[in-house]
Amino acid sequence: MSEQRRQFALRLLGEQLNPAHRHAAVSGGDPEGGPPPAATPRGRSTSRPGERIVRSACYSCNMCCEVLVFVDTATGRVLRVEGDPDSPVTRGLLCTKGLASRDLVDNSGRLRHPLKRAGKRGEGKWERISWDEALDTIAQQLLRHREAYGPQGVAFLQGTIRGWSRVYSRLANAFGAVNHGAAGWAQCLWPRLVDNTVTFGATYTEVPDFENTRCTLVWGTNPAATWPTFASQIMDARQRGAGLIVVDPFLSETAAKADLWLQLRPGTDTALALAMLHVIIREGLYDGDFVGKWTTGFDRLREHVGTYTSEWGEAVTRVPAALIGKAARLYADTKPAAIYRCVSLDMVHDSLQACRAVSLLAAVTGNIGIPGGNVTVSQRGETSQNSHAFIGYDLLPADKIPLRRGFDRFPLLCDKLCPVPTAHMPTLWETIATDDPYPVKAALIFGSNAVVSYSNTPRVEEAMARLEFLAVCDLFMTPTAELADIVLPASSWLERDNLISSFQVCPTTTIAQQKAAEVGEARSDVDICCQLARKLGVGEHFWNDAAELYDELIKPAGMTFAEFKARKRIHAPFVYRLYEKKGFNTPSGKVELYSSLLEQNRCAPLPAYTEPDAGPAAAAKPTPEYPLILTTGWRQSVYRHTENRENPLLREIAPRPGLLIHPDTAGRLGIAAGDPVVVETQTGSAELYAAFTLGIHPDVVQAMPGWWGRANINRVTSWKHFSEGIGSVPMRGLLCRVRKGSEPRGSRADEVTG
Amino acid sequence: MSGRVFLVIDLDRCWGCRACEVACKQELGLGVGPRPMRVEETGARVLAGALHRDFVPTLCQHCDRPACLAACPAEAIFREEDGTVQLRAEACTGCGACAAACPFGVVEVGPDPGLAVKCTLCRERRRGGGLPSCAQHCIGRAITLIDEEALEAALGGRGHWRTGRVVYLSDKYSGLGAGLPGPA
Repeated sequence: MSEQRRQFALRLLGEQLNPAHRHAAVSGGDPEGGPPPAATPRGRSTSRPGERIVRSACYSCNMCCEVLVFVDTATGRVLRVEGDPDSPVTRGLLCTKGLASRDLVDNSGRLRHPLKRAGKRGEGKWERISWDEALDTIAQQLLRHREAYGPQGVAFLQGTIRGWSRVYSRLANAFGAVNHGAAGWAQCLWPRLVDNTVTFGATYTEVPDFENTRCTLVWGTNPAATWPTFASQIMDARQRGAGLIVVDPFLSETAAKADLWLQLRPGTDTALALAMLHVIIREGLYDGDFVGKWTTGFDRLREHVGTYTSEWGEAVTRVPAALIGKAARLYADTKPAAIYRCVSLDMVHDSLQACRAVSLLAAVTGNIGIPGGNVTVSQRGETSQNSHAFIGYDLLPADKIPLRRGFDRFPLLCDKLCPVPTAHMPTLWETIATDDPYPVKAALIFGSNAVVSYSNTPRVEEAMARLEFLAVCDLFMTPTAELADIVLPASSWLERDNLISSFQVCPTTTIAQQKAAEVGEARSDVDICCQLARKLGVGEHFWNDAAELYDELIKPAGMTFAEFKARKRIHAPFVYRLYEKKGFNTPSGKVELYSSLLEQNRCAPLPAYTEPDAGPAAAAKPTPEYPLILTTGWRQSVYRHTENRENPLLREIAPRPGLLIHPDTAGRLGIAAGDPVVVETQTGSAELYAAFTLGIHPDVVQAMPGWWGRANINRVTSWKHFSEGIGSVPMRGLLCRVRKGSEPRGSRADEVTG
Repeated sequence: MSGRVFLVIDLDRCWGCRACEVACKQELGLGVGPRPMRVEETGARVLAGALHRDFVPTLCQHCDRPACLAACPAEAIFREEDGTVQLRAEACTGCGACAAACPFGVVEVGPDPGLAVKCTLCRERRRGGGLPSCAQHCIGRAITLIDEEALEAALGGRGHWRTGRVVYLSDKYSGLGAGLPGPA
């Protein structure tokens, strides 16, 4: 059946390209051409007899799309989730994850009650207990361990923030837990945030103004799979005639629509950006007025990029010099132009410098704070949770902060320049594994599948086995929760109110999320944190419950949370050219091309290129033993991080953990499409399934991250190298080898078969 | 207005994100199994010396001359006034003649309850003033519902192919559907 459909698709398209069309991929196009945008009627979503609609917002990822939840009035069951056509941002769209999210309340695997371990650790025997008993036990254990080992001996770990509140960080700080952190922070977003702080003086991230742009430069992300609303805006811009440049080692869904696709060698992002800066500065394509008036360090930057020619760039990145030049000219000459960068830049070996190098493209072309460029956003009406004040950083005793693991080596992560100062997690795991320099014996983990989501999984497993007490709060019985002494059931976004103010991705709206369902005794993380705070003796720094917190957060907008829920959203359009009134909040008051703050923190003030994994550029050839280059960057629309594999509708679309590999390479290794394969680095191995594509270089393979068990690609990432100043672990440009494997047995990855 | 509609799919705008697939299943209350909407992809391929990768949402074409309708021994398949081809579940015996007759592989017989399943162009949603769920949720805004009277303007002279109520559009590919049967 499916082969017949595929043949239909292939015969429908044919192979006859229209010579007048600006086609995608490597050919390069004319940004001025293109058809008019398609009509986008919104339609209406109406309830049917016996249904009521709860207007909410999806938190399946960080995009926070407004949704309508259709609920059976008689039974209270969630019937379906749809996009909200009234949303000024999404205009009704919604991605696979949001559309399939009813499963969150239906899935039989959801945690429904607090549990206490009844057998040996990891044996899977549990006893149901009350919330009071669960929280009392956790509080007693954490206090006992703090008494025995000091506050540094208790780790507070969490996952991606999403609907989960920064109240958890506040709880960590109030408790004195200097060793507070997450798998993601140094690996995702924090490098970009710190870059924005030191370069632009911005408190949050830069947002691309797609709706007004004439050129979009997408760097190391595949929004078609991961950022639905942005993808729709990028597509609209493209069809309006805006240029589209995509930097990606793989011909991703987004790259497939690009005018220019820059297929770089994984991990060489800094080199590519430097070579583009070289072209822009040498050819005088920068914005002289902006640079002269609003930046510092331009002469040093000019001198710095002098040797980074496009020919040098080609040798390092493998992107042809002519294409580097073309991309630099298209970006710099088409004003306004917007950059959309994402997690890849946080995951390269020189994360912060890669972020900086890309930021400098926007800075020298003056594409900052203008319509159609990148706009920094920080205030909108509600009180943000993204501040040192909110996370209660002052509650942490100053003399204890230097005890934080990684403090001496990673000042950009562990100290005040960081939005949420945090421990360096690999260093902390090593400490847990060795008691060096002090014992860390208890951990509280909120919303993090730590066994899967941290790099160097084998070492994390060893460390976790040494904990004397572990409590985990999550939606499902993850491999991490399986190791716990106490498990707490958290509510999903469908089961809780929330005040969504994600600057990262819905920069122009604050949205009310409304509870639509109930699952067992699951509670929101905010309520749990507030209750736990009282039991830990720090209740005076917290709220009675989530409702009180949301009232306080929305108060500056002049309403209560109940009133806000009735309104559903506050829409606040971008404010442009704010710097003309306020300057930039850096030490110089200008955009710091040469960063004084980095210099003060013993980091390179200008981004210089260094090689990923092993060897200098001249010897960039992989070694005979590990002849392939690995990236863990394959994202699919149906999954988010380690989540969603238990959702049958999503699993049906992407049933297996995949490794993208060029058929020529696979052929040499005796691997057929769909075969199980083993990926090995010097430090570990993982088992996935071969997926063939011509859209990747023959010596590059790309793995899908986030799968549990033997398929977990973090089994091959290592702690040999950390990026300067911020300590990110490289996940792009690792050296590896691949061989045909046998069908994995007992792998958690295959437990749920769609 | 005639009330007759077309589903226009602009292939140049399809990202292959599969929101349409899940939107469809949710609307029709389907679990794992038949996929009335399914995005097929070419995979990366070399055309005219460059790499290309394209996506095609495949679904019931609501043919002008539906082979499934002709093949159904139970007369469970009929044409609605809006031009779409619909299935009467209560009359379906699950014999599979429609699925075998469909030249596009887009009519399937589900495991449970063992009846034919295909796209309805969201009949119920449209009656309530909504768009088909695939069209509303499409991330690339590639899928739109167009009234028959507005079709020509919506096509804007662009290359297209249809054999029924679904119209595929593309500027990138010329000779769309040259290898496929066209309408009568």
